[in-house]
Amino acid sequence: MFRLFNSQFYLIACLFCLSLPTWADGRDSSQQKNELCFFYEFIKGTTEHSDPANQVSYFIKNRWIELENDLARGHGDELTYLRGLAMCPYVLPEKLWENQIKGLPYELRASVFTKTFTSTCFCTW
Amino acid sequence: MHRFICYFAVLLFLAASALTHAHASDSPTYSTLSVEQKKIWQRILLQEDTYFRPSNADYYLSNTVTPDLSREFGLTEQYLRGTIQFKGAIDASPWCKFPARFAFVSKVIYGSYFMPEAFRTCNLPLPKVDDSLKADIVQTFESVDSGDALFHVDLVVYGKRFYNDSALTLNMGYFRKNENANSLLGRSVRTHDAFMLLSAFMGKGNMSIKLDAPPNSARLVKHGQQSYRINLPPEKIYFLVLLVFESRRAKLPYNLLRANCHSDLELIFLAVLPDMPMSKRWFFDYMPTFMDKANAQHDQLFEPSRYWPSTKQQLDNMSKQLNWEEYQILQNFIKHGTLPKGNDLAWSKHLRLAIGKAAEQRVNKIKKSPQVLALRDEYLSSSLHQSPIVPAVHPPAESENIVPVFNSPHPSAIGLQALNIAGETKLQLELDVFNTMADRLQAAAPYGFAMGKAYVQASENGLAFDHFVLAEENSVGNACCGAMLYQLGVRRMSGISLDIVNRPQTIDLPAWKLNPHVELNFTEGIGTISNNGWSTQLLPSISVLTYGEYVDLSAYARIGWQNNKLAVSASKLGRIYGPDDRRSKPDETFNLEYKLSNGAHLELSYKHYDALGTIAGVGYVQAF
Repeated sequence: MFRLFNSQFYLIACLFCLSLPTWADGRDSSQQKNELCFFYEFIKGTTEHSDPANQVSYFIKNRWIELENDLARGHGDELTYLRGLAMCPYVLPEKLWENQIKGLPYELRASVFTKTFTSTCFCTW
Repeated sequence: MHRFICYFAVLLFLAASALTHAHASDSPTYSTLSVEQKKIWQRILLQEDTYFRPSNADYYLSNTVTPDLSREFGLTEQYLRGTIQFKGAIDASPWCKFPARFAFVSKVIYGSYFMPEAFRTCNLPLPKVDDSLKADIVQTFESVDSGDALFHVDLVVYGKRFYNDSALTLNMGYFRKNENANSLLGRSVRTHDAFMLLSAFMGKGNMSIKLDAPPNSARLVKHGQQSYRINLPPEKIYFLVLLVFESRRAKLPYNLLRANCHSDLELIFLAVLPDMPMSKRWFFDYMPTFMDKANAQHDQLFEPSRYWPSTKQQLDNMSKQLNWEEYQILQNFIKHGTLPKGNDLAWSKHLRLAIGKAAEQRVNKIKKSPQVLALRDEYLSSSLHQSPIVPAVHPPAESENIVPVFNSPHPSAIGLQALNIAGETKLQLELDVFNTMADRLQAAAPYGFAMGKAYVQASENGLAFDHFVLAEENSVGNACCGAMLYQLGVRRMSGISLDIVNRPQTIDLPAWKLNPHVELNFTEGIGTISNNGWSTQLLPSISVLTYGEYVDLSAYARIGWQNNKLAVSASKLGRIYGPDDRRSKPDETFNLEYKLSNGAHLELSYKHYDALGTIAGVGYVQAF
């Protein structure tokens, strides 16, 4: 009853082949994320930030003026320090400051960057 | 008699038991230490410099301010071997309080330092000892960050936390103490340079440690910084960190003439470098001198690695593009956070960018004012900000043409002056103890300066007086012709000086009767200062005296010309009200001054004072 006809077999094999690149892509992106991150953003099973995530958000908030200098410039000591804090080789997206931060009200700026940075640099469960 | 014999026996027993106890604490291991190890131990315990020793007995395990080195070693060893048990909170044990000496004794006994894991219960943020452990000395210029420090040196250690390998930064140095922060009088006193400097002579220093502070946290507000990479192996840097944690428990005598914010750090380095000789400190630029000596002995131990310009310095450069009105707008923004009403687009691009840059110093304005935020965005988008930064290794050299010859960020000068007062010759030793004039000044005071001098005068009557002066120079303000005077180079000048005057006739040195009088002098006037060309000053002053009419009003007018070699001047001192015999006014002076630090020079000058207060002077400068 469950015997496959040749045509059915070929169809399934073909479908499998078609789905393979998608699956492989998905595996690639998750590997990339795992290679980037060193710390988890949240304590497992809670919505509470881990200690490194707290340190990062505290740093971004308190050093925003200097960090914004670095973001606009594309490099700088604060950015290097932040990378060290999260142990993350964070590559600054091109024109991040111009496209996402410039023109925003002051109080939103640090939180916008915090989201970008943590989503790239912290692991999620 | 019988009672006396009893007392004697008891005393003898107590003395014998004390001696036995002392011997029990003495260490046989200590006597086996090499000369170098004994020196390190003495330096760890801060016992080498007799003028700079802790005043708190609890800094030593034997609970005394005059510890015996061998006994301290013995007690540490006994704790290490478990012969003495510590009972108390786990983070209050002797090895938590004094990690360096325990690590050292461990090294002697077991052949290796205690590594950070051994201090886990102590809650000390210690770094992992591996190749990632680096250290810098960071020298902050523009000393006015607090009344306790005239310029600032920190030890900054970068590495990984030993328990999870995440980044760790320890910033060790002296930081601002918010004394009198809530008192209006305290605030106003502490913001005046003169009082800040006076408080530095009497202040109490205390080493503190900032955890995870970014390495450049101080500079971004106001100050330029020079960093020196310390070329020591990781284990020695780790030992430096332990020494810092330990020595901050010491209460050390702290004042400008004996010790300063560098002294602790220098002692720490000496404990790591036992072959470095300890010099008597008596002058405040000691740490750079120590670094020079260390570099001469150990090739590039302190290697100049980077110079960060301060915001003020960048602003100063930007302000040179502004005209008078724009400059006033910038000044008002920096001083008061105010912008003129109207269309800011009408301002020149230079002004908009300068305000955008200056906004870094006024974070609250950025938060509250969309207009200021937009100006800052414009600055951040500009090529001025985007231009690639080439990190300089050394601070920029001073321009000889801008900075007067006696002004330098580097202390200091030593001078000898011979004075002829009514036929009697006196010798005066002069020390420039504080001299922070520089071209690195904020736009609000682009040509300001502050300086201090200490004089000790000697004659056959004995020592005469100490003198201290501090002067500031500011813009001339917005009065009727402010812009015109500014263009002519005229600046507002103000000064304060304190003299402790021993009048010759009241001195009886053998009997140690000095009977000093005090003169507190305030000066406010205008004038020009030029290092190469003409300069002129008119300085009215008022003094409060503890003798005579108690008040002295006078005015000082001076005109002079100088280039880098020669100087001539003529002055007139006019007394308006006050005692006739105000302090020891000389008839003639011959001055010899040698500037010790960068841009060393020898200066010779002669001045003649006539009975009417006219002063004529001529001088010669030989630069090296």
